[in-house]
Amino acid sequence: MRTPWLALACTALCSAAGAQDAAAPTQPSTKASAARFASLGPLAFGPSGVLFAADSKAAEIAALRVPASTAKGLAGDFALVGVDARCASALGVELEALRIVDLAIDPATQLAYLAVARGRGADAQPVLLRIDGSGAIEALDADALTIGRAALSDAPSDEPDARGRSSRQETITDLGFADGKVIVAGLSNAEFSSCLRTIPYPFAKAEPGAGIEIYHGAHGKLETRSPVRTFLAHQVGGEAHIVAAYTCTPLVLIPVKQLAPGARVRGKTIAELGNRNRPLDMIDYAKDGQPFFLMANSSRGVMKIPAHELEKWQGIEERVDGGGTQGLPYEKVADLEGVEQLDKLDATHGVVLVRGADGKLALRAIVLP
Amino acid sequence: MSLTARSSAARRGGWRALGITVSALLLSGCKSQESPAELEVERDAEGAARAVVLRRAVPSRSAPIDLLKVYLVTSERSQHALPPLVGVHSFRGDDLVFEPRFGFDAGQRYRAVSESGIDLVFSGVEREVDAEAISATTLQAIHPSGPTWPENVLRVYLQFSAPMSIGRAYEFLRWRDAAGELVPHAFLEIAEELWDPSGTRLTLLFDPGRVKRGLVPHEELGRALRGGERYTLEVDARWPDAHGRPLVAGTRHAITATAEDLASPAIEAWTLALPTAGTRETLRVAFGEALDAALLREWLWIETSDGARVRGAIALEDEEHAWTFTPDEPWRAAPHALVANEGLEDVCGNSLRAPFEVDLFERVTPPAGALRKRSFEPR
Repeated sequence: MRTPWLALACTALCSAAGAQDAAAPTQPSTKASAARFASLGPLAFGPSGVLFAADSKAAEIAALRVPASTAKGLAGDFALVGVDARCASALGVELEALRIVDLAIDPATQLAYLAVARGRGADAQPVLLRIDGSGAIEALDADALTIGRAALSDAPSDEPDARGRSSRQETITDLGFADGKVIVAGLSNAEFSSCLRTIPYPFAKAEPGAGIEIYHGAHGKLETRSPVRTFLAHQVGGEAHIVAAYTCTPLVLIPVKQLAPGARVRGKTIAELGNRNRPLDMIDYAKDGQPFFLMANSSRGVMKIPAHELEKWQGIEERVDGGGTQGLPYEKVADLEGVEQLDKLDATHGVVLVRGADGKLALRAIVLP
Repeated sequence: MSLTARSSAARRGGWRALGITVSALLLSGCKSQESPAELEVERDAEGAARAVVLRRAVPSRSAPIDLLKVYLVTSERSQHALPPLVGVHSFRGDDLVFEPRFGFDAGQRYRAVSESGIDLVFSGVEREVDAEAISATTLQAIHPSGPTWPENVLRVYLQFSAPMSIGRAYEFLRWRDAAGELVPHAFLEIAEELWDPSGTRLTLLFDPGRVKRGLVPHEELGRALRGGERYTLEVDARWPDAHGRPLVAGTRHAITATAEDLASPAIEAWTLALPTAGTRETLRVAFGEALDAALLREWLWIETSDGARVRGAIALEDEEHAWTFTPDEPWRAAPHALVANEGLEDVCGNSLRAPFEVDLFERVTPPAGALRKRSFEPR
């Protein structure tokens, strides 16, 4: 890989000589849009060229039109070690003042998009970065790229109480697109509840979330309020489904069409992948004609889960003892340790943000196992 | 190469006057040039750097971004191995101007490097940032604020005096038993961390799988608290605030666990101390248990009989066992209602709608946000 060079924002790389009138000093072009991101991420790609980005602080989902690029996407042997240090350097901050929120790969171009926070606290600047196959880092103007925003209608609002502003805030934990709808999972910093919302795209108005009830085998109880950690959209029996991973890793199948406004939906638990574990990210892919899920976890490594004919699996409705596993079998992918983020690159490759034994964070393409 | 610093007043219209200019003159190795290139930092009236200018940039086939690069100077890393700052390059006559996309930060040092090898180190602001002037951050309160917590307590709030750093909270939190032993897996670690919009209040959840009875984590590990035992929540002073500075001090917050609380709060069971009509006396509502400190400020209010919300001030008393309301205007001698959102919870996650432990499986529940009301009339 050649030495990465720095591209500039989506604004002109170099404005024409003399274009900067002495009476009108140039301002950095980050204020083009009225609706500015208060926070950025998670990310998910939708219809061609549209990137969905959550803005938890604004309780909104934005749709962005990603700008065209002549740069090549990530190849199957891509590796950028110290990606966090490189991003921090490009943004002019110390490594500790950069937080990577999410990674998404544009399926059309194989360019990597990172939602990052520049700064340490709640007032950190949200920044959308794009990394190409050469490792070049480009800072995009997410505000200017926004083509639509949808408010999460039943999200905790910033409505003031009797005095002052609300302190309730929902953190959006994952975002996906299926069946013409943006699907949003979130977790509140106050009341304890689990909710998946659907927003038809193009945006009109966000629908109230559907409450999800699942049988949480590792808990031996029906769990209605455990938060969804990560999910993906997957066709099961010819219909769009959400495959959702909860804390303590039950894997639950939820038909998208049942996610009606205000509905209570019973998800089918198809696997218990062990407790004391937090799922991080999940993708689906095909290998040798068979469908699989690949799931990164906090303490149980990366799991490869066969996803063939899921409609035939019975839901788990009995307790799984001893922190064991039940339902879909899985195999642990031994050579994938330290994966913090995961997305699909192409039919045969994924991209991971992976923490090496040396503590360095790398953006790396992997061959799907 | 030598570095010189000089002041120049109002060199160019459009740029803030009285900018302080630091320039680096290439004095050697350029004997063929009539007017050697130089690097300058343009600052605003407050001395904050806003652009780097390469004077008389030598025409070159190189792209502007290769003629002038600006790097963050860090203590431990070689900045040359890392990318320069993103920003906008533009020509102003013969001068090449670089403005960083995200500005130059106070307290940071930068290195500007031209393609021809001129090198200039400068700081984001002229004056040194007075770190002492910014008061250091403290942990102000922990809720529930009482000395006893039910053993199935679900949610704890940590309130800081100023915004904290986000992303490393769980490194600095420990839950210890009476013997000082670490209680493992006590908290549900949420990578995103649950902060309020100001970044000053963190919501900490005890692992719901350990809280809820009959669940595998609960049976394998037990709750992180057992009734009658003493525990300590340790908050490490090294936890950095939003400025990257440690807390003023670490905190050891000791509590005693009491019996589990499995019941929903019931609005009918609360004790109301009624105010006198025609006065602005405080209405006091006692719950007989601690309710959630954050939700109490948002999901409990007073309405008149026609549904209008009465304006006034809310306060929490007796370690969140009581809520008081002082109206802005005197109470009218008319029916009022104490209104609670059904989602209002006690500290164990039992809401007015349902206890935390209840299976909602086949049960039809009203939509979230339904209200419970209790009528009262000022005396």
